[in-house]
Amino acid sequence: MSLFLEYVKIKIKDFFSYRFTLFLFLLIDIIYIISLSVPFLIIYSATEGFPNWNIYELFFFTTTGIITSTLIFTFAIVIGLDITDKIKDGSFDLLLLKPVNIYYHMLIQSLDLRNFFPDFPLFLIILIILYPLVGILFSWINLFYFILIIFISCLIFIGFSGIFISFSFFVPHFDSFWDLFFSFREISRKPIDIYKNKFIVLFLTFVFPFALWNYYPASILMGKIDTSIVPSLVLMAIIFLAIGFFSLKYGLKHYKSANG
Amino acid sequence: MNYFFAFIKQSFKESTKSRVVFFINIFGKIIFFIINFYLWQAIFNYDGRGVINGLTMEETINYMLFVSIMYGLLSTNIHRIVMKDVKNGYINIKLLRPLDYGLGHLAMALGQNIYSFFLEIIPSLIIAIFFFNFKIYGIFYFLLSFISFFLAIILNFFIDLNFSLINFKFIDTYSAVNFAKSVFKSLFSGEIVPLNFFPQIMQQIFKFLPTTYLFYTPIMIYLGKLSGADIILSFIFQLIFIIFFYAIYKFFWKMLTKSFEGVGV
Repeated sequence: MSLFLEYVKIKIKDFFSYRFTLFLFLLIDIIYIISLSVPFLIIYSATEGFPNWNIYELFFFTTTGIITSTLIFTFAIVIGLDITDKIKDGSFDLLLLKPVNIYYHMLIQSLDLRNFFPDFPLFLIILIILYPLVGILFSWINLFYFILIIFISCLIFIGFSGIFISFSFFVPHFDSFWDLFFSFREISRKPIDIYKNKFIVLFLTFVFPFALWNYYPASILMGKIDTSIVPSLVLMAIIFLAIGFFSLKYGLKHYKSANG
Repeated sequence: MNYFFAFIKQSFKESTKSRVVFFINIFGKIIFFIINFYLWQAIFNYDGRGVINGLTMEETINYMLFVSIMYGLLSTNIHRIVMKDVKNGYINIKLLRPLDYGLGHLAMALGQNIYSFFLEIIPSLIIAIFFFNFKIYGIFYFLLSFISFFLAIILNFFIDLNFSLINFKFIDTYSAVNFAKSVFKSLFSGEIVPLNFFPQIMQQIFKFLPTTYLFYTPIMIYLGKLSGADIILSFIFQLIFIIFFYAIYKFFWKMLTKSFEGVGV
């Protein structure tokens, strides 16, 4: 653990030493906010908007999604993508040579804090600013569920990354499937209840659970849905993590270093 | 010209190697069909008006479906290629080729697009017609919209190529510039929301922006919303913008390659 913290410390120090990079990332974040909010503003100025969602609620929903995505990208997806690349170009073998636990080694080698800073603190501030505008009645229990669902979605996507990495051991050019995976994310950029389609709702909740990034945490905090779904989400996190871990273990065991 | 076609042929052949990618892309398109189909249905039903800013629900859904179908053709990876060439110094080898750098890559992009037209566009068009009620508003308008899309592909390529040249001078800042350009392009080309939904004053400005001619104009032709004279005028505008961006590219290319040392970064 101390080694890991030391590593994170170096990464943070390294990141902040390049002030221009930090400025650049802030600039990208501002452009990102524009790209997400302008279409909503245009739709809401020309029409009545989305059923049951006002514009502030929609911004709150979107910002929740960004906060969750910074965590998931940092601790799951970027690591998964990096290892998939390493398997593809053969540099994964270098990880196997060092006398360190392989899972631990994969984590610290591929951890990239650029997805975390400055996005996470910046969007957290935006979320706090939006909070009174949405008119949410504060409740500790809802706040707890809000944080819990974000945490659950992180665990689920860590499991997903494990599954995807293990596939990369056997299927050459598996990286194309990541693109497909991200396509599903596009559906969840809007609140899933507006689709009025049960299949889409179930699919984005239990199969590719991108709705956990934004819809469920934001809706529970805003009191739009009740908390009865939470136990099934906890169970899902356990299942996905277990599948991810065992498939990764299986993949490592059968890795032949022959991809490319 | 022979070299240009040789490049198209080579790129077409190379594309045939990665068939799986095209199937994945079709699957991705189906997802976007679902999003747009249900999303715009919900917006129109909730709004209650039959026509919003000159578009009916059916037209808006078909507009967005057509965007999803054609999306792949209007996205290039030229910025990544240029970045790689500059960073690794590959550009030296490419300068020795008998065809201009930009035209060579345009030919490669067209070769890839021809392949994805058959393997990606046609199948997704069939899926859209049978499962999402995608309507063809007249075969003549439909064909004209494809001509407009062809010009849009070339225009889009030269816009992207010009921005990619920033790599020669500012390789580290390029990601931010490229992201800003992509956002600007997707917002003002009618890719995310039809331009009819923007305020009237902005719609007037859009007429003079090259981005309007990427998605909005070809799809307006497909919907039969443009008169014969307007269609001809839109083709002329597309050609003018292509020539304009090609001239800018030639100017900067000459300037940059003069001072480029080619050692890589």
